[in-house]
Amino acid sequence: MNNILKGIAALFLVVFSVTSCDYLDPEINIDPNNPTDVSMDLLLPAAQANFAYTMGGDFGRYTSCWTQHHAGVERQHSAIEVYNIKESDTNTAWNTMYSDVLKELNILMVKADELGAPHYKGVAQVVTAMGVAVMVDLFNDVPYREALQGADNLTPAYQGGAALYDEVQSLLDEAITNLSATESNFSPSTDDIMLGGDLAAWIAAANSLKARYALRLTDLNGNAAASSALTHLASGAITSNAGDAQVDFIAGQNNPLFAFNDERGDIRMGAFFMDWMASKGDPRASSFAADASAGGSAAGVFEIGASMPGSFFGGQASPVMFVSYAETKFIEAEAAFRTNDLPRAATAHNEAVMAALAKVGVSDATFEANEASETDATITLEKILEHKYISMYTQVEAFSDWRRTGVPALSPADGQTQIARRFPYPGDERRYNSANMPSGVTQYDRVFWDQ
Amino acid sequence: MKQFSLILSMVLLTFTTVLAQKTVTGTVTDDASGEPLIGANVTVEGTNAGTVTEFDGTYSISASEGDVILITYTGYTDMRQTVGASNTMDFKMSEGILLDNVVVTALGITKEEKAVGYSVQEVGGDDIVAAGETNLVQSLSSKVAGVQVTGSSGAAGGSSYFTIRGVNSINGNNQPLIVIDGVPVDNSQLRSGSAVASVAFSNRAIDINQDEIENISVLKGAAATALYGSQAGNGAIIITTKNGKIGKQKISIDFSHSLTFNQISQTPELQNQYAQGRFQNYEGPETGSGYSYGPAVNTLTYDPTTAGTYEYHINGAIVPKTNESDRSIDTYDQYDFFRTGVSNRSSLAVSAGNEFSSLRVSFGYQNEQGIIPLNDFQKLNFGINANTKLGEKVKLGVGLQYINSGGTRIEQGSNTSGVMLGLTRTAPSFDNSNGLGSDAVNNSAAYILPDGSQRNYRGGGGYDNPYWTINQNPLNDNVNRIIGNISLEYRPTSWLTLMYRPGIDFYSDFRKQHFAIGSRTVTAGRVFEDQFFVSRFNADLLATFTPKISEDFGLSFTLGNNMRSFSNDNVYVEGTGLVIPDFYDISNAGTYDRSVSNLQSRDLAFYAMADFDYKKMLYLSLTGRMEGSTTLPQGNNWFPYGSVSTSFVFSELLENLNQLSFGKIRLSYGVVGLGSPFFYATDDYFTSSAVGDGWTDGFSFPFGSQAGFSLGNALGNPELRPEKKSSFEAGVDLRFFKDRLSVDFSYYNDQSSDIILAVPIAGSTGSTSQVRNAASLSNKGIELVVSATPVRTKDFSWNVMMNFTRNRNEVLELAEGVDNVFLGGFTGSSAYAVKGLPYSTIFGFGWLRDAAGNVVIESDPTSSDYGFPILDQEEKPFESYLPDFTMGLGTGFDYKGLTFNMLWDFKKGGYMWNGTKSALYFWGTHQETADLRYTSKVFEGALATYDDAGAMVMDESGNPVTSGANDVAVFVDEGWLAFGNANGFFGDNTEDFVESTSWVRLRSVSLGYSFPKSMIGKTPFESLSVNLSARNVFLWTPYTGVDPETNLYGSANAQGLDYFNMPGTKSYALTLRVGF
Repeated sequence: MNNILKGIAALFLVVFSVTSCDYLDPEINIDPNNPTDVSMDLLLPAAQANFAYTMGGDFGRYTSCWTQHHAGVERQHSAIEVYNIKESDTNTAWNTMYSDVLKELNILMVKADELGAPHYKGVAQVVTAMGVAVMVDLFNDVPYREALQGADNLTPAYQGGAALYDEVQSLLDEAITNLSATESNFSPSTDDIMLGGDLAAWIAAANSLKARYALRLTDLNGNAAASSALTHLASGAITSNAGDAQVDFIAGQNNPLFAFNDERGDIRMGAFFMDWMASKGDPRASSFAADASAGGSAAGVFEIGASMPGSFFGGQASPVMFVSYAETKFIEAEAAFRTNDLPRAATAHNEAVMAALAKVGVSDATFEANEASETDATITLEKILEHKYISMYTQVEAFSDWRRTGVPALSPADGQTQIARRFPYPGDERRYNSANMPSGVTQYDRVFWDQ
Repeated sequence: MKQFSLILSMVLLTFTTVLAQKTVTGTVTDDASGEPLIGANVTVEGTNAGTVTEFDGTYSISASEGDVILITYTGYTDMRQTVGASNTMDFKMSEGILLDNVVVTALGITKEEKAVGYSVQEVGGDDIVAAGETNLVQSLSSKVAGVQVTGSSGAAGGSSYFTIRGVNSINGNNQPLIVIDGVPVDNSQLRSGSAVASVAFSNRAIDINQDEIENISVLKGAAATALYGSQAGNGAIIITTKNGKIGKQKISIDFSHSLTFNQISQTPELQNQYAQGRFQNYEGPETGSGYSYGPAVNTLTYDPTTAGTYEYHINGAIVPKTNESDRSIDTYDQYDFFRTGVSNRSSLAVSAGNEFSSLRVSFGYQNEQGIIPLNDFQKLNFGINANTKLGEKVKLGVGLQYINSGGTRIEQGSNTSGVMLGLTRTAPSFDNSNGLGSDAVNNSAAYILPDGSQRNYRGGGGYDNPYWTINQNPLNDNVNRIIGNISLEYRPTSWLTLMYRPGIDFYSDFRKQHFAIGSRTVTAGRVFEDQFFVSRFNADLLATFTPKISEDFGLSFTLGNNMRSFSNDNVYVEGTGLVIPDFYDISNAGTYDRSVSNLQSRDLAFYAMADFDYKKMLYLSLTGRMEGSTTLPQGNNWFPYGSVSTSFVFSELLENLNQLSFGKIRLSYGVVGLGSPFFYATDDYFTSSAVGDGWTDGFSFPFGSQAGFSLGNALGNPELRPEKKSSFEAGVDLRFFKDRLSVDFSYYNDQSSDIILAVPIAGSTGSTSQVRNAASLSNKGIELVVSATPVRTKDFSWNVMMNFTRNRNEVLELAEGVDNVFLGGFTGSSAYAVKGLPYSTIFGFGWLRDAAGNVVIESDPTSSDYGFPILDQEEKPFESYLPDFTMGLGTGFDYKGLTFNMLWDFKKGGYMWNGTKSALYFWGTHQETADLRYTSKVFEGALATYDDAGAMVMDESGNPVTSGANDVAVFVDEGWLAFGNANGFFGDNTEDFVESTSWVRLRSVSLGYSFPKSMIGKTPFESLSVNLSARNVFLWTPYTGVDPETNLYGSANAQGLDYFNMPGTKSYALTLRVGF
């Protein structure tokens, strides 16, 4: 009996020693498929691509229905078309902006400091500035300083939109300094899918953006906004279409507008936009619309027979625009007009329209004669802003410009009395950060610069 | 004299081998009344030979002198008698208390039923087969108290989901462990593609050959499953398969074949009064219109000038009638698309045994045609069970099963290629089959236009024609699986047994799907291959001591070690943009996407169990287990837990047992620790970035040739601790009238705490969730099992069985500041875990209500919504899929070999989101939209009030103040039905589509006949029976969609969602069984 017991004890001892040492090896719980750290050149393109997909996707698509560039005609987009936008509609884009764009840029900036890579930091700062600004433009007060800290701060405080606009300007200032640094241990190149690591182009883009965000405050600062914009442009803004900051998609890794039309197909061209182009003989109509002759769907009327978006911005490999030469020239034209420099306004306007046509690769002598031949006698703010509205097709900027200036004169969608002026906060923020999220806002409320 | 007979029998035994077999006959009667006993079991001990007594109590059996004949009969004391020289042996049985029933408990340890201090319910293999289901999980439906089964759909090869005593986890597995002959087997439902779309995938329990199941033991509480540890925190299903018998040399062969016809059961009602279009204007297929709010069909006719040339209808384009006498257009019953699915199932088993060894070889094949054309599922099972004695002290058993299963699966759910989605949205004026009827399945003229584009009711846009879907987008899966075990038992001495049992469950699951160019899901066409390699290894080492202490006091002590590992290696390759049309190889694509994942975990445990009994009356069992898991961070990865259970057979103390024949009280308390349900969740990882916006598929990096990584949005946690589940159970088992009536009642109170879940966090943190120990859940309930034999006479017996389950589940806590956690569904209508409510509660938008609960009606005459109900802008919880109670009620009659059985299934409560109907309101194809449209209606509710500033007046609690019942009549048309809040597709109305799934269901009914020996005596058959059965042929439910035994997610935690799910089935089967 003793032998048997000894035998059993020995058996268990063997099992215990064989099994316990290696069997629960902690290596087993390390994910073999995903790294715990990655380099800056992997974070930058991921952030830029996610940003581009959101700008060309939800942000651009929703706002384009409200600016009547597009019209939601079916399913969920027929609700958004009539401003029935819900907290669930903004959830994905908000979360992408924070968790797949700003978070990665934040990590990238910390790494750039550690590694002595001001060029990377400068690029990340410009992209971050655009990200924060568009969040303010669409949601007004949003978290930034306390945001992006993961489990260290589960309920980030919201900051006022005006304060964030100041942060945007200083981010861009710091970016310009960093981009101008003579030494950087690492610099972006092809991993920068917006500007291919062209530091001069980034500095120019930063100046154009500074002008954009300065001019945005027209309602608050009056002509000082315009003067400020001109000052920033004078620091060296974008000088040609080649300097446009944009993300070009690739056939098979499709542009978000193409993907939406291909997989969902619930939006059409907007009647206001198509009618304007038709009335002016705009040569871009057949590039912007798939079938310009089919026209657009009037706001809130859901005409499914209207044209689908066309190949220039709605093709597989179409770009998503962030800031362009044409926009820079429109900013200059508007700012000059507001500061009463009409010759400069007219010249800048004409250059802007020509740049916009060249961007699409079309020309039309009659159209150019009628629309890009303004003089100090003929130029008006409406002309500048209407052309900007046409040229900024698919960009969130068009919605911001309309809110800021009321140009073009859009009528609310059929059956509605007013046009939405901002996005509702996303459901996740209401559910998980309700103590900080401003409550009671509706899509008809206005952001701080929209007065 | 006694001694003499003993010596005699020993002498006889010596000569047994040389003595020839003979036929022993006799009669079995009740000792007291002299009445013959019918159906008493007559067996030759140690052999397979067995029969039952005939109607007159007589039997006939082959035996040799020296064999022992054993007679058993419920309610009577067993009788054994050794065969002597005489060929006649009569038995006079006396009624007695027969409770040496044994039940199978954890680790396959058999225990006397009376010794068990927790609820164990057993289901016989015959009952499983009688259910007529393909999926073992579905077969358990209505049979066991505390077990809730939910099928996913009627698609062949579809999954079923089940839970025991409610749910215990938020994100983790909630389903019981399934153990076959000691080997825990995988029951995953692995998905390819979206959880709300794609096809109906199988849960892997579907692979189990139900014909080979001898017995199933259902272990419910933590005390019952404590020895399985963390893997059985949700209960366990212990399956024992059929074996040959060691003993007399004997070969027997069993063969059965079933032929089953499946048909669709309940479907959503579709209208056929209004044609395609909007605002009563006809919009034909070429317009792309998706709606059926067109003109009445009797105002439309075919344009004869386009007859034969119009590609959307053979009779020509649809135009308004010019004369009243013009023929009206045809309408189509879209459900004609479905077919009667024929299923064949064969099973053949050979059992053999001799005095040292036994062997059983089994073979099963099933070919099930689905109710959806071209949908099918095949299953091939091959199994060997062998046992042998190596000398006196060593027993070796080997079990090996090979399974090959899979089929052709069809797109479903929220999916532009989904069958029900395309089918039920189709306007009644459009014929998806293009006049071909069921021939459309094999004729592309139904779904492809002469120019090669897709023919559907929306001019090629919208949704795939269902005939397109089945032909152009099929998914094929092929599973090759091996489940094997070796068990080695060594008994060095009478008080010690050592057992080692390693087992493995390994399978590969290869899937391939293509989407032809022009498919709505991906117009450029796509091919993907998705390959899984899943492996589970489990080994138990057990030492059991059973020292003899005294007559009154028994003790047994077990020490054990358990090792197990899991891995799931997945490779997915997707090619999009087909270069060569109709050629479906992964090489034939323009762009590629791929992913690889390797999941792995290991667990190690040491455990002990001590069982005490006193005078076979008072039992006590203690277990303890120390378990380690790799899914937890080091330092927190070892956790102890245990259980105590006791059973008191109080009837042993009672003298007069005239009515109460047996009584037992049981009490148990157990705690189980669980590892993390997440792999690799103790750290943060970067992942190759995926880009998308929720509306589109998006794409993954590398972008062109540029790689890109993002920080994973689910944060890990290095502080994770084990989850804990505790369970208290009390029960009583009473039997009356010599066991003719038995009542078993259980009460349980289970608490799960420290539940690990992905706690959702605000996106502004830079992540969307963090894995944390945060939630707690409670399940309390009662179970009642009653079985009775009210009548048992010579020719006729009648049995009744009832099981009743009432479980109350509550999510006690989620995480600080988190009141609800998304489980699955769609924005606006989804399944959530909501604090303070039952798990998987339907969540969404509903009507604004005043303090009295009245729906608030718009009272502003200038509003376009004047007279219509106002929607509450805040999402809120509605009901859960979890029912108030479920009850299975079975009854059976047996008259001279003719048997009749039926099983009714009652369910009260349990709600489902009828998303299908919600969307069909928008499209105008649902019958209710035809009934409601163009009518005047006064909505039930109370009128809103407004202050001078035009703001709605609210009371202190924030509820709207109303001013009396609504009396505003409104005209209902598509402005409300489609473009207002009548639906949940354009509108946000979840509330009106949350429907009760209470039901009364005739789950199965069967009529069978076993030919008596007298009739088949001259044939080679040992037994022969035929059985006619039907399942689900009667269903009463207030649910207005498909059979509410459905779930969009299939076998997953998000339950109670129906969004274009495939319809359920009813079936009729003919089964033939032959024994040789």
